Amino acid sequence: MGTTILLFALGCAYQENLPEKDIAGTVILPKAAATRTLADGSELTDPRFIGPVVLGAYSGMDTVSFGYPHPSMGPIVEPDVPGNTFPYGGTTVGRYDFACYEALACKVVTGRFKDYNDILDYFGNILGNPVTDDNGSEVAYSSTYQQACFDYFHATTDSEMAFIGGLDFTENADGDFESSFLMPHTVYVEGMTIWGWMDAPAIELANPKESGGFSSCDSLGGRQFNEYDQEFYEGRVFYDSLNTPSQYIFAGDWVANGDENAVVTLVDDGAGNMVPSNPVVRMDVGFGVEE
Amino acid sequence: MRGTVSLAFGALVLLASGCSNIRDNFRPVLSDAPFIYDIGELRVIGGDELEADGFDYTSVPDALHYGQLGAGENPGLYGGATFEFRGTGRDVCVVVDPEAMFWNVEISTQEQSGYKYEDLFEDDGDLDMKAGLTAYYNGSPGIEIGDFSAVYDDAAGVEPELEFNECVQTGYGGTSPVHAGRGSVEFCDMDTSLHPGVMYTAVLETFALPIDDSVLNYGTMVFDGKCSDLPWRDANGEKGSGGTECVIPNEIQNADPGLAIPEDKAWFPELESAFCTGKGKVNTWCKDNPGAGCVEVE
Repeated sequence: MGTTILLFALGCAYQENLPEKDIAGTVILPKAAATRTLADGSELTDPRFIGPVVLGAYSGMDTVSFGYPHPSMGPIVEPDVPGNTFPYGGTTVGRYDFACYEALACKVVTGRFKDYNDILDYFGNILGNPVTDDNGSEVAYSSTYQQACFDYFHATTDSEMAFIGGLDFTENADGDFESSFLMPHTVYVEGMTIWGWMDAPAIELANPKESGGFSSCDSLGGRQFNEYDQEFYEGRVFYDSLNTPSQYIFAGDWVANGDENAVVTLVDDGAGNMVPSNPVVRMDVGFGVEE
Repeated sequence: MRGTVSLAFGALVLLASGCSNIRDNFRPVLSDAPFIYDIGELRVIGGDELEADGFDYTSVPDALHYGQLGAGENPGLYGGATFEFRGTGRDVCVVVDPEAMFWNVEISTQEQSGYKYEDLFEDDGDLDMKAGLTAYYNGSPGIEIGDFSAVYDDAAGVEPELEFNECVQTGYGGTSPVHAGRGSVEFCDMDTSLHPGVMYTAVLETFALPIDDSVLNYGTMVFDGKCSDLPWRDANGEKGSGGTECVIPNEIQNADPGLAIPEDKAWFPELESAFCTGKGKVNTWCKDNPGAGCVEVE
């Protein structure tokens, strides 16, 4: 018995010495990234315009091969496919989540909406593309929306809906939008750079019914739903978004500048422990409006 | 005490010899078939040539190669064959048809619902195919089998492994890369548009030899076009319906045209032809030719 307890204790104390660290930092998007021109010609700044923010840890930056800062990449092997960037780890601030209706597949990101009304307002009043149910009828009430979600997911509480609740981004003193991020279990390489981009939602002024989608979402991926006359995919991020990001970056998106603030090194935490620094990733390289 | 020691020693001897016998049963038999072989350069063959009336598959050895592979003395090394071809600037389809595998386990004794006989598995070998730019091949043709992996030094000094194999085959459920198992045909599309006129190498790695004679017959070629456009044929040169198994027919007989087909495999061309014509033909042929490549279901 004593031996067993001793072995358990030793097991808990065993250090695997994995070359991995949790990287915690801040991502900052300029006010312009959350500002869009609407159909009536007005400009609106709203953090709901911030799409998924994809972040990776890379060996360095390549400032030559693309028209924007891009991670260093390996050789190009296949035609039309850029070289692999070989990231050491990655995370997102906000991810695609299925928001109960087929019409919202690939259009809703976590950490952007407080509640059902917030979603109905964004799509209906701002994008001009009201949320519709499976019959094509407009969803007018949050209670209707809630019931549809409880029915779809066999859920009983709003806390089970990952796409509503706490918000990721807050406006800072400069008027920009910032959020913390955590990149867990990342292979730590001294001097690596945290780089990424924000995929901005498409806003089709001429055809609002097409607004709200994202180019980094695979509409033929994710869970497939087949029930009665409904047949669709819930959507998911493309699996190689970190490895070949240039395939998913288009006009309207915002890209990290890859400056020295995004470089990770080991620093003393004040107690004699060397821990990763907290990188600040500023995504201030933009490409205008995605249409 | 002395008796006990003798008994233990005797048991050890028996155990050792027993293990040795068991091991030998699984070891392929050495033959004249080469362990490692370089075919040389193969011409990329077009569909018009393959589909010409009366086309003889053995008449174009510069484009369609039939060959044999055997065991090596060192069981710790991979054997296989290599060949080279030039990029056309278009899509090409690289195909290898190892001996022999026709159908797998879809067995039913019911009328019209499937194969009624099992396929003979003792004659099935297995070749795994990879292909890529010759510049990236790290083996020595005819001497040592290699692959298309290399190491890339990234900007931070980390060395991830690169894979330059462009012959990516997709399995059930969309998983890739995969290899076909147990004698099934392997084939893949390769886009050579970036490298017209540049040399590519294909590697046919011996994964398993047939356990009946330890000689693996195979046929291989590079088709000028996508695999979906390959003309399927049966052993009689007729348009077949049996899929990729029927693209390169009669690999057993054609692998060594100078010699007669082995007597115990004389049934091969006819059974393959029946397979390429349809499921019903296989059942009929097996019924009329008991024991010839078909196994009665117990």
